[in-house]
Amino acid sequence: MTWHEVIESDKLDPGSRVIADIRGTEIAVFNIDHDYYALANYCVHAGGPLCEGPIEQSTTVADDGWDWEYDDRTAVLCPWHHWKFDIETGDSLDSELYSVPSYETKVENDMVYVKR
Amino acid sequence: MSSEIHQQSVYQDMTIVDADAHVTEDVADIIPYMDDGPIHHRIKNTTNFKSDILSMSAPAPASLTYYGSETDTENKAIASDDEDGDTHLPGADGETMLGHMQEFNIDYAILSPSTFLGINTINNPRFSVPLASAYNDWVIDRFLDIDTSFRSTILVAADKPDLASEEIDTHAAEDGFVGVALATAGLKPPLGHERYDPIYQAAQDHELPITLHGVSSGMIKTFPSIYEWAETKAESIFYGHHLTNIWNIVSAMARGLPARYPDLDIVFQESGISHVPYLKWQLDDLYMEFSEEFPYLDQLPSEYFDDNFYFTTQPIGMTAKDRSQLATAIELAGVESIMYAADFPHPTFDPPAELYNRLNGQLGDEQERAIMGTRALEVFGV
Repeated sequence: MTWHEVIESDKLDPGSRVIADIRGTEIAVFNIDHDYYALANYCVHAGGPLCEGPIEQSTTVADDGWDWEYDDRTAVLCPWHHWKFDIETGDSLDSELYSVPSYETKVENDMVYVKR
Repeated sequence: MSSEIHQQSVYQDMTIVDADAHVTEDVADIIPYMDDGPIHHRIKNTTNFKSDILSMSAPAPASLTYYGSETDTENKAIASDDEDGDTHLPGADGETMLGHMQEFNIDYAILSPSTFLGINTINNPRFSVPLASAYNDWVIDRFLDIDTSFRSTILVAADKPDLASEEIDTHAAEDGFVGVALATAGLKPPLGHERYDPIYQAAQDHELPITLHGVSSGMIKTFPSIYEWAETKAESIFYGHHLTNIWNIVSAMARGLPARYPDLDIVFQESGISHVPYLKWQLDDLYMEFSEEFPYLDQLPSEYFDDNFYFTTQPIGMTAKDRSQLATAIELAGVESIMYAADFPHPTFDPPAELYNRLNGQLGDEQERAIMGTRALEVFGV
């Protein structure tokens, strides 16, 4: 496993992502409130370009059992069929049967790295 | 009554449970169980119970004799005459029904109403609530007190969920009652709506499954637009039973019913099993795409099917061409969710052999016995 340079941190705004080719695999790096997460750009559902889809907060039911509200999970939605995966973990928001590969990240000297 | 398929059956050593057997009540039988008063008086003096009190109407009369329909004046195909020459319709009383059960080697019958499946087509709950209660008392007298082969669901009027909950509390401890009948003809809003929560809570508290059962002539209330363009009885059977259950299944899942009541079993009757794989696949797909609209669910809809839903086999449909297809359909639907039902004595009924002869040897002895009876004993707590 090797650390790979991806992008200078000041060029990746919060809420955005960049997709890099790392040793032949497309891997997206997301900036979520200055924390950096990396997922394979591949949806395990139908092979769609998962990380090119919109970023949204997960929805849950409020404690009153009535209202819908956002929880603290941030997801990327596959642009093909809207399957949703937690950007932090790569796990599906909706079924423990599904997850996409996630990768370690680090920032050193204003450079974002992904380990693969 | 006998038939070639019946005589060839090899299920005699099994416990057979008809998980959807029908009494054939007449409102005249039920009226004496009502308290005297203006509601009792109006029902007693109505000329056409099905249209004046219930809102039941078939789009067209059946072309042949049909039990429980407006055209059943010659409803004698499998009726029996006693020694005094009086005719007893199958399902009209416990003694008559027992005779037919013995003929088909059916050991237990989980009783559902016939005409009273239209209880929720009644607009005024001042009528439906006491009628449901009177029906339950009639079932006790005419069936549950006659023989322990009979078990019944508690019929409730869904328009008054709090009173329905009280009706469940009243009967839940009685041995013969093993479920709660939520008749789906006229059940609006559909199953998933929170207004029925008192019914679900009571059923769950008493460990009673809910049974869902449509009726063809009740589709006028449930699907008025579809009713308007249905020209035949055959069409209304599909809409009144199959489509109604599909509507309620989707509603239950969309409103998170099995997640809100995780210990509540729901038994869908008289719509067969072949639609179940389609619904499991399709609801899973919709859930994954629109999961933000299903925030109540903690797992895939298909997993709730496996955990909470049961389906009775009748009508299994025309499966005789290739018997392996039925076993495959059951496996796709979820073997452990399936239980046999005859629907006796309605003309669409499936004798035990019609199911068993096509399953025999395909699912293994334990699962085949479970489908034919032991699963129903467990789900209904017999």
